Amino acid sequence: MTSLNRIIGIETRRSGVVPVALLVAVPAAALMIASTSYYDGRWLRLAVAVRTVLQLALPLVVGGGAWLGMREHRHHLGELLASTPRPRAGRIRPLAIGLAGLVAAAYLAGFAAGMPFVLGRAGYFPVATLSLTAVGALSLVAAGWLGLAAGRALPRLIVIPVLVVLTAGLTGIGPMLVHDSSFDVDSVPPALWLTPVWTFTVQDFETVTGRIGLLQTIALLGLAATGLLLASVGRRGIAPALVPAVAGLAGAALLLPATSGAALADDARALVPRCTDAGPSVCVIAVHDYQLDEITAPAQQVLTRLTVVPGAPTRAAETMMDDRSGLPVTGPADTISFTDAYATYRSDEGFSVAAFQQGLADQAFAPDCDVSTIEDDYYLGVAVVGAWLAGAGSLLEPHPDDNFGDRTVLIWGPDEIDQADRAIQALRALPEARQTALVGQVWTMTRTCRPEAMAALMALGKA
Amino acid sequence: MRTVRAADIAPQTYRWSIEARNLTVKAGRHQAVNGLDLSLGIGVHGLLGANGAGKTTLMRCLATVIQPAGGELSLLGAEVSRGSRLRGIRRDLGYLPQAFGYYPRFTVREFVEYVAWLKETPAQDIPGAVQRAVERVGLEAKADAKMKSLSGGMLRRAGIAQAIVNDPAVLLLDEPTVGLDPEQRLDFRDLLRTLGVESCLLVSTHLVEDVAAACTDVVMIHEGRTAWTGTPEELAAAGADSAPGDSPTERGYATVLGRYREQAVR
Repeated sequence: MTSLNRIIGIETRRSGVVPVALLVAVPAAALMIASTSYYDGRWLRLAVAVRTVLQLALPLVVGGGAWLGMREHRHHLGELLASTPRPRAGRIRPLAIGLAGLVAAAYLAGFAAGMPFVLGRAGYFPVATLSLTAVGALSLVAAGWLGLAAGRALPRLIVIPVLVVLTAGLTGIGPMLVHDSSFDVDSVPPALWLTPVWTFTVQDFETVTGRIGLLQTIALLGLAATGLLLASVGRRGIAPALVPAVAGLAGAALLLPATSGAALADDARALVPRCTDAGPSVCVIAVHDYQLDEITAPAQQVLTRLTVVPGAPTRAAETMMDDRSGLPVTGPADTISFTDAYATYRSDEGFSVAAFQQGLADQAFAPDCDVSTIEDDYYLGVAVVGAWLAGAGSLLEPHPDDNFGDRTVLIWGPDEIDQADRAIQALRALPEARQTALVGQVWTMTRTCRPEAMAALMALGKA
Repeated sequence: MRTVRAADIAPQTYRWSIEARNLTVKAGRHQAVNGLDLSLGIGVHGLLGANGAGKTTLMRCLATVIQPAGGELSLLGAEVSRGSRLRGIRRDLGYLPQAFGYYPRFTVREFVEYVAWLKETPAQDIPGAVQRAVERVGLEAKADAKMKSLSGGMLRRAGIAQAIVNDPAVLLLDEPTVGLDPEQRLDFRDLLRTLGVESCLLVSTHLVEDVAAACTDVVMIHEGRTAWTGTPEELAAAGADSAPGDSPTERGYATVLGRYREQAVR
């Protein structure tokens, strides 16, 4: 082991670097464990989730770096150090390396805390995960070194809270306030992409363009270099030390996209379908392939029941949501489309098989015309068909695989549920052939935009 | 056993390890050292003077912490005012400041090792040098104790250990015996005698007895100027019977200082 490595070890153990790193690792790990539903099964979401931790971590690391930068002054070592040959830049190196290594490791520890919820589940690894994580770690290194420089230059305790507040305002709170005042991503200034704190919304099928990773890396490398130089030089070197930060920020500004939304793009590889091998085909997009095991059986149950209906869909596939209607983008006629099953049908209690199956029924029996002309009765009729497809005897009957709640979203009042339940029971009381014929008739009529088809179905309950 | 470096066996090209001519040094706006002449070679030199005489400012200047305001100062044959030579001079300097600062969470061994690294001691020599320095000040039993757990006397010894870890050619100790108990002071005098065999050791102190017991010669300064130089024996002999003091050396100190003050007034 070289003497520098030994000194790095001593400085890292004894200087207070470890507590500073814990200020990152503990909140990061806690947040990752508390918010698994945000990212489980998805690498990019995990990387984004860890980046949100920077809102807290960056100010703390700047403050911690400043505290460390004051230690020579705090312990009255200036006199002794001034008599030694190793220059100021050399003296700061072990502490700077130790701080950089540990805060970066702490950041990765936050990422690692979330890995058990992704590893082995996600079959798709977006490359942007790596750049998002690397930039996050780099931002903490830059923050630590800038704090170190500030602490050395101004060894007064008051500097620490001032730096913490300033950093929080510039990197987190300020950008958040700008976001809150705008719902449209493109109305947000693209300059907000300069902050490493994650403030944007990214869909599962989207990715962050390489340009953003590049511009953030350039800006942060410049800031980190300036931090290290400022910590290493005396007063005479301040002006040259600022050059990397200015150059980095200028270079990054040149790379900013024209609009904030342009920084995000659909990830073609995330959208590649992943389908079941056996039984009626059920497909999800690649980034959601961790959902496939759970949704296959319920979807196949619906598809199997539908096989008795002539011309009915034979496969179910995940698709994107139509921004205007809020419904899944319709696919081929033989396909029931659905959007992100977990995002739509999973709550804190778990995934609702019954709600998912009802969603498939809703989509399969969606009228092929302007929905504005459809009356509420139609949707109650679809709920009846959904319960029939799922083999349920009541709108309220849970699916056997669900250990919670009711089998459908309770958008209906007691009278409507009672009316639907009577229709369901009447339908199930009919001979099997008659049941399928009736459902087939409803299917056919909805294809030709005759929503009154449901009237016959609902009439069963009134008889 | 320490490695013999090329520098150790290189021929010495200077006469005095410390040489000052008409040296002036400022402490803030005050000119604390004012036209001082000094020539010190290998040996143990005691620096005596009253409070405010300029001892600490002189030590800081010799330690290259502050630059001379005027005159000439050479350390190990190199001019201190030439910045490019400072790094080389500092490699062969050892310094214990009056206000000794340290990192409280470092162990003694770690702190001495850290200073050895700061003094650019070759990596392969550091472990041996650290062990030897710690042993020489009698702190081997506390080598792995945190600095913050040490008593005042032990801290002073740790301070001396860091000062000698690089086997300096010029060793500057400012009030090194503060906090040492009588037994430790006796051990310390032995250490001074040992160190003075190979290096130029300047000890600034208020304790005249330490000078008498361990130094090969004495430099007295008053108001930033050299007031007297000589051996401890000469100092003791100079003492008038009527002078204040409990020992010949103390009486000598009081007598010499009194005479210098009288001359200065004239």
